[in-house]
Amino acid sequence: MPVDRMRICGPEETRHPLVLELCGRPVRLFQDDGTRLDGRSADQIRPMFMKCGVISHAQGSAYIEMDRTKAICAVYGPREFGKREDFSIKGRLTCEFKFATFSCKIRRQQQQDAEEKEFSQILLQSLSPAVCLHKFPKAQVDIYVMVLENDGSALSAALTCGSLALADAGIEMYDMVVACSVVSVSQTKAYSDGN
Amino acid sequence: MAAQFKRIQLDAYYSKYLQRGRRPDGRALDAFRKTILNVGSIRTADGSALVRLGNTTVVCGVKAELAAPRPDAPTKGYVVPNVELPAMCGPDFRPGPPAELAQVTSQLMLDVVRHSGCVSEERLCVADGELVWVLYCDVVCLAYDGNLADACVVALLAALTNTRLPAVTLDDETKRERVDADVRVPLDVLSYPVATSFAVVDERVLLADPNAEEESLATAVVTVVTLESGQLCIVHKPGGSPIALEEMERCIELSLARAKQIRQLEKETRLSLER
Repeated sequence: MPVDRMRICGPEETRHPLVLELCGRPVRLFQDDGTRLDGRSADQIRPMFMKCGVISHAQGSAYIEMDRTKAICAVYGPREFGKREDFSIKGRLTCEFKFATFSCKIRRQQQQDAEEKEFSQILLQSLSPAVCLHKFPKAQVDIYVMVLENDGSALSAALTCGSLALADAGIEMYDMVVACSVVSVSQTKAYSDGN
Repeated sequence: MAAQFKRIQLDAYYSKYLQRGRRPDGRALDAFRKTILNVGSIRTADGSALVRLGNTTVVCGVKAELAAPRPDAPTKGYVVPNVELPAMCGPDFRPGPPAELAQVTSQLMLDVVRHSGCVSEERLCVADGELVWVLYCDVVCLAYDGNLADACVVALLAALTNTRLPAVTLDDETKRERVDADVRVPLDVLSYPVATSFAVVDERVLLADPNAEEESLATAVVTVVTLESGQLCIVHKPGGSPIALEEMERCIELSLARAKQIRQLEKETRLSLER
């Protein structure tokens, strides 16, 4: 890993104290009566909390909590394009997804890694169809999502949060976008809102 | 009418208020914004704190990892603070490498940790020369409205006080570490530094706890870090217009009073969590 001159760096190699435990130990997912460890049934989602207008300087912002998973989103725009490009009839949307370094069990890097880039693409593909892009030609709307704590379903929380923030910003949309994750743990059953 | 005047001539708009000893947001010149502190809400981190100073919101998460110590300091662990200003915190920030403000504030955090002695690097040692703790203290600014330094220092210290490390021992024979995840040892925080920032506007007027607008007008910004003993730890004044000695003394006096308030707030928050 090249030395990052713009940040305070620790030693080159560090490891999480529980890394062997986290990777090695088989985990029990269900109780004896078939419900999940937190008492939910297969298709039950966790309690949620949502709030808009949490970042004062942003055009729109939202915060979501799905039990322990926490995500915050800010929307800026419509503002002028980052790079001067040719005239475009439709507006543009950019999305940036980031896990905070302390949000996961094993610390993440400060730079965006491949998974975060993939999630940013997924966010863009999911939110673009819902936004009336033709209403802001030559301008772009920037969506920045950060996951503060990841207890599963981070991408769904981010998507829902992004959609809320867009609405809070007053960007014209065809509809709201909501997301939910589904996890399959055996051949026959699927469980929604995996933690 | 006032809104247009503010947009076109921000400095004249401010002067009109300052002449009457008040700021546009209603505060007195030496008053601080409402401070809210919340600790321990992020369970994936070993210690965490969220601070709201007016509209400035920062979150600090402490993650502890294990590493080999430096050969020239075999009994010392590491404390690695970093401040991040992601694009979401304000319209002037863009994605990419850390902005200058982030780098300067990170360095200030490192100086605060080193010079206040709040965390002893020796106590982070698990086994001499073999295994030490590395505390990654990442402060993320979620909303920027001025006075990043103060908010970051409060968040950092509150998160460190909230940090609980798993018990680790090194097996002498196998040289493998044994971690007991169920036993959590609170981190020893030996001192509690508090930072207070002031902006100099109009070359004479000193404003405590400047917001983003006031910082944009400031000709100088000074940050004073004090300890519980009433001692001065750091005075950070990177250039800018000169400040008279009496004014500097007034800053230090205000900092000491403010520091008491912050320590009281942190204590109340911690006790309410334990209840």
